[in-house]
Amino acid sequence: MWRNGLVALPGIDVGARRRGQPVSQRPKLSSPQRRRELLHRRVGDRVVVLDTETNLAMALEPSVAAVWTALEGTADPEVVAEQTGLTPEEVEGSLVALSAAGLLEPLDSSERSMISRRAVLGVGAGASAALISSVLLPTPAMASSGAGETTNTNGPVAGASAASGSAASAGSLTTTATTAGAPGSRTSSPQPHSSGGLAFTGLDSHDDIVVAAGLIAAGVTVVAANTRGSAKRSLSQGDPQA
Amino acid sequence: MTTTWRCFGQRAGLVAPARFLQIMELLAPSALWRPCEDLPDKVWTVVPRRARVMVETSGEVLGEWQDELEAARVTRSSIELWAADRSKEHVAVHAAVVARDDQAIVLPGPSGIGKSTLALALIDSGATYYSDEFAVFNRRGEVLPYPRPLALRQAKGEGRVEVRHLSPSELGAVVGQRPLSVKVIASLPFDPGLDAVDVQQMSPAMGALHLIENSVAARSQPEAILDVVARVARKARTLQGKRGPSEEAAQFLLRYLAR
Repeated sequence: MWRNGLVALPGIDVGARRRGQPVSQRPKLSSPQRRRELLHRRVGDRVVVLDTETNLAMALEPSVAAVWTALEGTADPEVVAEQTGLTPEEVEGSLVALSAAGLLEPLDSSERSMISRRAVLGVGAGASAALISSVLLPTPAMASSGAGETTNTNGPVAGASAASGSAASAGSLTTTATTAGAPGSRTSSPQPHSSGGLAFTGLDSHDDIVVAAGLIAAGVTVVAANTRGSAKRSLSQGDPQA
Repeated sequence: MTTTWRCFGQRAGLVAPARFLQIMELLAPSALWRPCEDLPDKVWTVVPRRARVMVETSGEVLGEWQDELEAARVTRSSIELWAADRSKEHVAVHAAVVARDDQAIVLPGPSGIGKSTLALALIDSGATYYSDEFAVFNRRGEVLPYPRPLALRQAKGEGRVEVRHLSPSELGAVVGQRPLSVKVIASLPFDPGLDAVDVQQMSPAMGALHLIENSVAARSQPEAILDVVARVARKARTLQGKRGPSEEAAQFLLRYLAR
């Protein structure tokens, strides 16, 4: 949680601004850049991004979308703040969310550590609203009912699984409405993937859960999932696990 | 006998007994399935085996059935998915679609959330039927008629589910004839604990996510999918929530559409 300068971690002085230190002197991402290979389209005041490496589609809330758009022309967070009219804290929170979601170029290890800690602290995340919502890009079999209707009385025999038409054979698509995010925010991460240096493969380990907690604090809603895509538990702000 | 079908612009060959081909002709929806004279890009083969039929394609056995009709349905779905995944002309999204006053309502979502039941309630309330399985969009983002029979699931106990396939004519449904703009994208899974509709309006971007999440070619053609769903979502209103009885949800959606 954001603690208004009461928490200090080595290398990160989250209370600097309150004590009058100029924002420009605070540790920050050196030059945040969008990952070039991402596909994105503006939809209203938001941006939808497709990441074909992780097979995730994401919707960026307006402030994050504004930062995302500004990053096209600059890598300087202060310039981004000027261009978007957002406060430095809002820009920083958006950058943390973008980085945690794997939408920025990979960071070096010190910056990655900074992001993780800030995410856990909720720096700039602001309230509980989800800044980025995501869904999994389905396989063709996931995006169909399948015609086999495998429970028909005269359905397939001899081990038939209704083949490519069966969603059941493909691992279920996990989509869960969360209580932590903005109304309707949802995320599914049913497959192991690496996300800008933050990897989670099923939230089985303590480290995975810590990272997940950071993502949640950064405004990314997370549904824990095993490698076969079935959700095991949902983590969200307010959840004891998070 | 061999027939080549053009489905979503792709050429699928079917080698099967004449009777099976006739069944496929009856199952093939609308103008998006057309027999053609071209050489196929992929072939499905139906092999009679005693009292059963086996269907295979590219060395993969899809299954073996006693019921030819069921085998034909699986074959149709297999061809549909293959074609939709490769199509340069159409974007297929797993969804039910109805329309009223030339405005379409798209109900995307995975199997078993009650799309077909809600579509049936909308039809009973006077909506025009467009599709039960795929919202098929052209590149302009208009939704096309794809009137496959509605597949209505009914729990039969002990984990068994019976599926009834009802054609539009059996339902007395008016079938849409031309491309329409989408006015409402609604994700409303059935919740047996609700006796009303619990829903909120979401951003167009969330509407785009709902469509992407159910797009057949999301992985194979991500840029094309993103282009089309963004086009659709920008013009539509998006609803997300849960619903109780389908009749009330249908009335709600139709009132919402008319606003």
